[in-house]
Amino acid sequence: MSEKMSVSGYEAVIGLEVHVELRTGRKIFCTCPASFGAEPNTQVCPTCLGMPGALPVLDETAVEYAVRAGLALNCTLQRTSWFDRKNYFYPDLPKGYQITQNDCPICLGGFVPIETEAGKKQIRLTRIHMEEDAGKLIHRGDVTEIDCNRCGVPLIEIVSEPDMRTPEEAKAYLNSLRRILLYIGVSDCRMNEGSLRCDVNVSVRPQGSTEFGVKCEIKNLNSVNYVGRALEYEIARQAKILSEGGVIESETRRYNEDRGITEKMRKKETTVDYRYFAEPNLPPLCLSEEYIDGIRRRMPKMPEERVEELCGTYGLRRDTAEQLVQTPRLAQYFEDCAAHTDYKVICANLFVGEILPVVGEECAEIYLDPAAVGAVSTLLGDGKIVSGNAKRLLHLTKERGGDPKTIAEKERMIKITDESVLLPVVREALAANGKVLADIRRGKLSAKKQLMGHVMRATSGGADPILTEQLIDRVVEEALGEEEI
Amino acid sequence: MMNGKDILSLSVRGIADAVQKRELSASDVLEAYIASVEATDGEVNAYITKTYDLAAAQARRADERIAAGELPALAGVPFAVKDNFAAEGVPMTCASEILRGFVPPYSAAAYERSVNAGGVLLGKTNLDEFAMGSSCEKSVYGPTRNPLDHTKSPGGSSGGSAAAVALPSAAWALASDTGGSARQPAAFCGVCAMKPTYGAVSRYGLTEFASSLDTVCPITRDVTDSAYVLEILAGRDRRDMTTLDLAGTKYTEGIDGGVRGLKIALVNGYEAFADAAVVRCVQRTAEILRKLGAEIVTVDVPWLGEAVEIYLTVSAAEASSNLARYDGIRYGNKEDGVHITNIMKNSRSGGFGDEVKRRILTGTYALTSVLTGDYYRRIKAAQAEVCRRIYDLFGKIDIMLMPTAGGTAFDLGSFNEDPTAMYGSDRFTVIGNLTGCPAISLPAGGDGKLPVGVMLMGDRLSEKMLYRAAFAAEAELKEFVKEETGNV
Repeated sequence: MSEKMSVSGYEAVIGLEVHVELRTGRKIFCTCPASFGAEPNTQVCPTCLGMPGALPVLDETAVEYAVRAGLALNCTLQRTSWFDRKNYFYPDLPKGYQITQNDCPICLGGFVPIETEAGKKQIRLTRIHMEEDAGKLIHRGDVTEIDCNRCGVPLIEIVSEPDMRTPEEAKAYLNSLRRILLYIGVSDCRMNEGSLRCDVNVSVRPQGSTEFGVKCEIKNLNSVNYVGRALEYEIARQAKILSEGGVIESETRRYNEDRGITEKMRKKETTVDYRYFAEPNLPPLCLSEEYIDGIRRRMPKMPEERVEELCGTYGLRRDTAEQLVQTPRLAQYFEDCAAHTDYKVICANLFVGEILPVVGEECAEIYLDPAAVGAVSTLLGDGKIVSGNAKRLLHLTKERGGDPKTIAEKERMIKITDESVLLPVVREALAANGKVLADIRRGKLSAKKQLMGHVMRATSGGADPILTEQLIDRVVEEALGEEEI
Repeated sequence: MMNGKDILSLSVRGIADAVQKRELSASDVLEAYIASVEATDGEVNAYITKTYDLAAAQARRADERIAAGELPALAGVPFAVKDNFAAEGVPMTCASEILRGFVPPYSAAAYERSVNAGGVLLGKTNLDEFAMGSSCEKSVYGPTRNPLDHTKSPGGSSGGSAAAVALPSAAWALASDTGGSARQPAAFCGVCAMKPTYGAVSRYGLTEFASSLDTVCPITRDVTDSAYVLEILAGRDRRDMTTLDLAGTKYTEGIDGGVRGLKIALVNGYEAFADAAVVRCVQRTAEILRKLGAEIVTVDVPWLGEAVEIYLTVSAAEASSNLARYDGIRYGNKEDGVHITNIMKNSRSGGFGDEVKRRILTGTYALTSVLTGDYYRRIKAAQAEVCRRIYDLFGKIDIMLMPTAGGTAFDLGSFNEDPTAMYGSDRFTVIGNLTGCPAISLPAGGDGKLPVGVMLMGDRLSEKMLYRAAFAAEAELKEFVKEETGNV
């Protein structure tokens, strides 16, 4: 904790580089499948193994996904971008170079909205570029094996401006980014499986200073929480050095999950030269206005926008609305249901309570026809059924099909509000439960609940509970009065 | 029934025609060619790998297709493939130690198209290691000898392909041309090479040397064969994103249309870089074309020397990257080492020859911007300027007429002492690669026994016009070639 103390008086400057695997199902420059966890070297071909003359062919789906990400993150899409070769030797890099976008990436600018306790903020993006992933080295004792399945998996790298000042903001940025990318369906964003990877750049400067300090890069961050913890540690470490008059060395550091600290991996070399040049096998990537518009039209509304809409036009509570917009499919399903009833809030509550737990946020399958969900909502809203029967009615409608109202009538679920129908049932309940009257006489008023239960059972839960209660009181009083005479 | 010699005298069209008409079977043709390979290759060394079993199967398949009523364009035509193209199941060496033992599990598009058209693969031909060189000596499988004079180089890097077509121990051959690698050996061996427009033929399966300059070329005995084969090779391939849509271009159509009205330019001052015999052949060609109705003019292109320097930098830079994949780990020849870094280092140190290493070092240096102050960007800007000037030029003229090489075939070993002196022999050819423009080399005469080639270069996608001009000139030049080389 003493390290934490030394943070005061210093401000952190944080920028994130996030690599996201695009879930196109195949590799970016060949048609090999790209699924996680396959047997090593079973998803490879001459192209991704870097065999002579096996040329790269850019996958159009990967481009479309990158464009979707760019649109969702408010970027400027470059009408012309191109690919470059980043040359370096490493055993997991079959060609001896990575195909990436250096000089002219597909997206420039953009921002990610975040909200922390400190309020709302926009974190600006520098760029998004497309690239291929490298393979994996598996170390077993003194043997190293190479798995090339990941070679050529499509990635986008999203580079932020150094706009974050606290670990909370960095976490909020990652969560917001993740939600948006999940929402537009371009990645499954699983940090533990490496489909979302995050490198953090952080420097520290005296509060009020406008100059940047010397930054360190932290790698190996496998969860949002680790990003937060690593930053807390690193900021304290740097602040401590500065407060003691020391100098920060520009380093690449790694987060040690077990010890909760960052450790030096290597000193940052300033002279690394990747000998970039334009990839001659791929023509420039040209995106027409029509192409981008076509993708824009197919984009789902962003979650934030949808929440606002649901709150505004339907009058939903914000927390309810947020539950409904977790994925575009879920939001669409709800909106389809709500379109069939005037009782939007009731429909939303019914949906969150009874349907969301069944379909889940992915909402892979529709549970029940939206018209039926709307009809059940209307029955609830009109007071035709009691809320306790809604789940059963949904279930029966799913089982049998047809109109929920007809089923409710047939099952005698329609609320009985007619005194002339209900009164005989209450009398019957009292007659069948002679002991109740004696209990009440002894002052045990809760015994009335038995009568309520009886009535509900007798009417399949259809009795209007308020009316029933009034009738029970009346009938009990009558009975007590008769006894006194 | 034709005898072996008769069969060998047939052109590509001649063989296909005879096989289609069942005057010859593909197997008969193959037999004659195998006999020729066996008779000549011990001395000439055109082939690295011979594929007789595969050829026999392909010949049978061609005969079956004919029997079934198909008429494949290259039915039964035995061809050779430079050993930097992949043919599934056949070793591909690129004449390098580092690829020893590598058998590609895929086929180059150009090879595939040739086989699908009924072609029969005789084998893989010799080259300078990774196509880097102009003499076909820099091969771990030994030099190829010029079939017309065994003390001479056949040119390079496609020396094996050119020699095989000249002998003939192949009816035609696939070659690659990055700076003149098909045209110069064609000129040295007295055959014909078309370097088509960049993107006309798929490079899929061609081992990359300098990807932005590499071009797939047919080497043939005459101009018509060249046009005939290019029809099969050219066109969009979804495996090579740089290919162009040329669907159905008939290069043979109208090939006899003549040159009337074409404006053909000689390059001012070219004589300073050419032997007397070469100058004589270029002037002779110009004279023939003029007589046939072309307008002969001259143009100033004083920066051809600079173009060679641009070429050397660009090609070395791309090569340094393209050859990074050969590390001995996934395929090819692997050397031992205590650590994976040592395995890579040792495999590369032992696997590459001197010329390849020289280019890798040059290219790596050129791309290292901190050392060279962005030299590569400036070189690319200079290349763009060269392109602009050449395209402008082709707004005013139709064809540039140049020597293919400044001299005839040189002695084997000529450049052992000063290997970089050989780079200058690309003076007239690299411009076609730098600009993506097509250029055809055809025999135009001889000096002693050795042939001289001249080159016609046009704007991008002007192949049909070039074939027309080359065809017209060839008819008149044939007599001179025969007379001056003593070659029939």
